[in-house]
Order: sequence, then C-alpha cells, then structure tokens
Amino acid sequence: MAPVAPRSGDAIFASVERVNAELFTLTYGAIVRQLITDLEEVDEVNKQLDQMGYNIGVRLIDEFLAKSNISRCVDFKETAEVIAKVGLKMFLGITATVTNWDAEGTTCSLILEDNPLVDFVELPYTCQGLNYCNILSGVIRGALEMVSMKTEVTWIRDMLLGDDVFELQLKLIKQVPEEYPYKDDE
Amino acid sequence: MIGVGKIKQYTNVLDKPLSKGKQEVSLSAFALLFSELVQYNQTQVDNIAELERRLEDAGYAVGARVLELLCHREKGNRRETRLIGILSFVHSTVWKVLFGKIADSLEKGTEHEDEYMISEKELLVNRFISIPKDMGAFNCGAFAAGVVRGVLDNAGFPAVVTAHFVPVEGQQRPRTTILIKFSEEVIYSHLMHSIP
Repeated sequence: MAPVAPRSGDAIFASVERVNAELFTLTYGAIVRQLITDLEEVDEVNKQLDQMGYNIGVRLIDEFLAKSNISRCVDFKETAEVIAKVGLKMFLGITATVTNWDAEGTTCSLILEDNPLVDFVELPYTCQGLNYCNILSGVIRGALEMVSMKTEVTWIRDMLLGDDVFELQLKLIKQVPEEYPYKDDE
Repeated sequence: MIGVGKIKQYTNVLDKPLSKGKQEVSLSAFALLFSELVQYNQTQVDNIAELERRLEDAGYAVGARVLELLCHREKGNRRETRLIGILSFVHSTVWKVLFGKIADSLEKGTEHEDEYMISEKELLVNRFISIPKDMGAFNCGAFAAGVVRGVLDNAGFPAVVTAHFVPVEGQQRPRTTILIKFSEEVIYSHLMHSIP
C-alpha cells in the first residue's frame, strides 16, 4: 500500500471533536490556582505543571501519529515545523512560527501570538517567576521523548510578563537510538 | 495604542476587548488536561470524598468566572435575581457555552421544595472516565457540580451541589444528575416572590 499522505493541521482540527476554548482556559486556570495554593513555591508550581504536561505529551503523541499520518521526520527542522503547523493546530487550534535556528540545526524557537491558555489571565505581582504556560513545554518534551528525541523546552518570552509574543525554545539534546522490541510476542 | 505594529500591547487584562467566545480547542486537549487535574488531585487526598471536594473546588473557580463572563457577554451586564431565572441560565446559557449543548433536563425535586436537578445523559467530564471498582461512587461530575455551585453562589443563590450517577434502563452508562439543594434563605425569598 502506498504511504498515506500526511494531513494538514487544519484538516485534522476541522475533523476532530472540539470544545469551547473558554472551558479549557478556565479549567487550566483552576489547575494553576490549585497548584499555587498547594505548593506555595512558584518553582514547585513550574515543576508540577511541566510534569503534568509531560504526562499529557506521552499520551497525546499516539493520537497525533494516528490522526496525522506523519511518519518519521528527516531532521529536527522538520520536527519543529510539524509541531508548529500540525501539532499545535490539531490540539489547540493555533499555529506557531519557527525561527532563530542555530548553526547546527538543533535549537530553534516557536513563536506563538495566540495562546488559548492565557485568556483572562493576569499574573499578580506575587507570581513573578511563574511560567504560567509551563504545561505546554512539558507536553512537547513528553511527546518528543516518545519519538526518541530528548529535548529541552524553555520559555524565553511570555506575554504575561510583558513580552510581545510567546517564545518557546526547543533544544535537541540527543536522538535516542531506537531500542528493539524487548519481546516480540508481548 | 496606535502604531505599535500588528500585535497590540495591553497593560491590563481588563483593557482587552471581551472575546466572542467562539474559539475552540480539540476535545482531546480538554480531556487530557482534565485527566491531569483528576490525577493530580488524587495524589493530594486519601479518600474519595476529599477528592470530590477538590474537584468541586476547581469547578467552583470556573463557575464563578463563567458567571461574570456570561453576564457581560450574553446578558448585557444583567444578572438573574429570580430562582427560576438563574436555574435556566445555568441549564441553558452556561451549559451551552461550556459543554456545547443545553443540558438534557432541569427538574424540580418532587420530595423537597429546595431541590432541583440538572441531568445529562453523557456529561462531558465523565465521557472518558471509567471508575475503578475500589473507588466506589466517585463521580468526576463533581467538577460540573462545582461549576454550578460557583455560578449560583456568586449570583447570590447559595446551594449545596452534588453529582450522582443514575442508572438508565437499556443504557450501558448511567446518566449524571447534578442535585442542587438551595439554602433556606434562597427558598424563603423565592416563595415570598412567588406569592402573587
């Protein structure tokens, strides 16, 4: 059978079931507030959000691969484009621009102008240092780890902290060699 | 601000225009996020009642904000002051915005004057959830119950709101009923108003 052509993010987003973004936004806000109350330290909240994102990413990659018909990316550049144009679109309905590549092609930035996580949000003075959207970086890290890429994902710019856009830096740490099935019959 | 380029700079969240609320995200994104909310809260508690209470708290925070948002957007800054009015606001407006449809039913309890019920055949937050045997009557609908309580409480109708599974004949999955038990003063003033 000929390989199936990858589907565009728009086409997938149009075909999946969707919910109102405000439910999503407000629920996320409720989570962040719970974490702040429980953990008290901003750093701990960042860590927990990243962990939650990681858990989501690990599960979400399956759906992503199943619905997008995207097979292995030839290089990290393609990976970044796929995240920006297909991944973000299909789950959050947004796209990002990929820029700021380094010479080796292992570090780049995703620039987000739209971010459904932060509607209605204003960071109070007491939450300086909080990476409000840290769940998103966790998701990307978790998802990429499932396709054998160890990455570091960090927020460089954040509109909640007064920047003009959201900038997420993706850094490829290493490509983990594929491990062959532990036991075929399992 | 004029002339700052494509992206407008806002200093204050209140200076932003209120969105029309037509944006969407995929259901999976919400389901995965909600599942993390449940799992995280599971690590913070040691019994089911406590877990439900925490989910309800999270929902309450959503409800309080939804009330404010929808009163601005849908009702021209007016808020319901009558019991029936606020109940149908929850059942229709709030449900439609949050869950994409009007709730299946809104009924008055037959045994008690102060009880009302909103029922949903397949509540969004229960859709991808299966309850393990050892967690008994645990119901993720507690989150939706929290939303309802958040709306009612902030509109001036304090109530105790709980979510329950009700088996339906001929159907595999039970429906979720959200039981609203208003506090005494709410019912008192409702009855005063209803006297012609």
